[in-house]
Amino acid sequence: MVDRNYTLLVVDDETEALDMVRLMLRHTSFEILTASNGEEALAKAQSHDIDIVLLDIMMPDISGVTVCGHLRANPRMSKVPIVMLTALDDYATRRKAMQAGATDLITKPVAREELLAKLNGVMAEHQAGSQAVWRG
Amino acid sequence: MMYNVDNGRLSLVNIMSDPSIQFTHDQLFSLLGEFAEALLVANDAGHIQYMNPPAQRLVGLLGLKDCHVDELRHSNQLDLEPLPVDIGALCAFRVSARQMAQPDNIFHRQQCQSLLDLGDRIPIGLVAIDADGQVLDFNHTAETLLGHPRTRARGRPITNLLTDFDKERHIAAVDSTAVEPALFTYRHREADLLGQLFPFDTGTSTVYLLSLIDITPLEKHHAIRTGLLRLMIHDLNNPLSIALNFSSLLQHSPVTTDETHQAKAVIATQLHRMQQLLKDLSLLDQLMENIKQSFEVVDLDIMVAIVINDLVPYAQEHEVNLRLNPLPFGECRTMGNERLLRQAVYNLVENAIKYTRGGWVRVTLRPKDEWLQVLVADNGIGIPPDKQPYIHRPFFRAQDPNGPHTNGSGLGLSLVHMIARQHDARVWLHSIPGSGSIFALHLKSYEP
Repeated sequence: MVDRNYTLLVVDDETEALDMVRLMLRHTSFEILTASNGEEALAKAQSHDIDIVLLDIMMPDISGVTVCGHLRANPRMSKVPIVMLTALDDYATRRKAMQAGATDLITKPVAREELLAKLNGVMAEHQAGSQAVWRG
Repeated sequence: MMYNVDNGRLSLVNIMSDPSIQFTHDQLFSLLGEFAEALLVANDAGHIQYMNPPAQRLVGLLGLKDCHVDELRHSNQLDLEPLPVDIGALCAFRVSARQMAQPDNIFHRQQCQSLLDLGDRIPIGLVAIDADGQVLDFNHTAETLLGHPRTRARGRPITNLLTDFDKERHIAAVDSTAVEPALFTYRHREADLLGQLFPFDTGTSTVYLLSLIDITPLEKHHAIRTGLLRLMIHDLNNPLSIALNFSSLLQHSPVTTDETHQAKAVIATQLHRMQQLLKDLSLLDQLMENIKQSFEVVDLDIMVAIVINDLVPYAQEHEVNLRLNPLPFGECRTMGNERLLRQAVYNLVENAIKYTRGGWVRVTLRPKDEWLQVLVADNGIGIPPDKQPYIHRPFFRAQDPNGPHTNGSGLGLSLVHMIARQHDARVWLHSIPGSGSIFALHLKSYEP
């Protein structure tokens, strides 16, 4: 199914979390780009070809929801799948993520297999021609 | 002798006893019409010949037929006082409404009114409504809570004043509840109100008393706690997730020696972080209660010296020069909870070290009027002006743009502010990004 590598932009304010994702996804089809805040994420989205975004909802400076909104407003990113990471799996959080334009949501703590399955599933749907619409 | 009729101020008896004044019946009735008192004239058989306008209003208001004096007397609602005037075969009466006797065992409307009058002196809102949900009256506190003058509210539906009031559901709940009064919450103009509904049987109708208490502070407190709980869940989940995944990596994936070292270090850091968060949350929980009962005299110079001593290794780890400028012993006392004050100073100094790399942190004690200042100054990264108003918020963290994310529970400074508030103390901040910060904790000086 996977015939090339995908560039995954991981956005999280915690360095260890970024390191963790990098280690979890090594030897997979995902090449990792990281950003530790919203501003950096928007800059990297502008300067790189991003295939998929993994975005933490709760960040101190600009929240993940706001970053998602800004990414969606960028024509380069309007159709790119965005998976949001959250510690709170409740209706209010899901609704906030949906309204911001997220494609899917995944709850922490997340095991490697679960993360990989989610990212691969989102990419497969995206490649099949679906718009980056809410699946959660 | 002439008598002037001036809106009833001239006594009817005086007029009628003056033999020089003679009236026809029509003139008499016309004269009686000028009086403010309720007057009527009947013949010697009791049939009413004439009622002046005040008497007509009184009799009409009570829904009585105006044909016979006995009928008016037997209504038990009017008193008829015969007037000693000589008007031939006619009799004149002064008419007044009778004071109603109060039944012994039920609340009457007047008792309800008395209750509302009494209620004007208590800080609970009281609203009397009828079974149709129409407002009968309410007390001064209810007037304030509802934001509506009572004179304009009488006779209006309660839902006009309190939109959340569900007449059918609430009154039905009261009627069906045998023992406990029904409790409801209302959201009214940015305030949260707790209401209890009580039924009263007046004998002729059912009246309901709605008591209202403003619970907005409680709701805010609840909202703060809920918000903190959500943030806590997030902040515990982060280190937990990281530790679990690195642990899984060690167990299930081929890793290099460096990656093993990294994983072990990360796991240890994240576990420590969770432990610190739980300690701080425990302190936060304690601070939600009133701690003033535990206050004692605290020697600030000794306390701060202990804090500095504890943080020397941490400062050395961060290559920070840590210094204390104390006051002479005995000149630095305050009233407070020693453990909490020590935690507050610890958090300020630790925070200063954390955001200062290879620089210095100075702690100074000095008096200022009736206050004692604990100043914590550093030459670290500083705090951007737009972030400064939020530093006391739980889980807020300043970011070092040139370095990795700084760890911590995120509760340190919010705890400092809470501890200060419990001690009637103040926390001041002066900070310039790139140059450093000064935190000043102002505590009240203790004078024996």
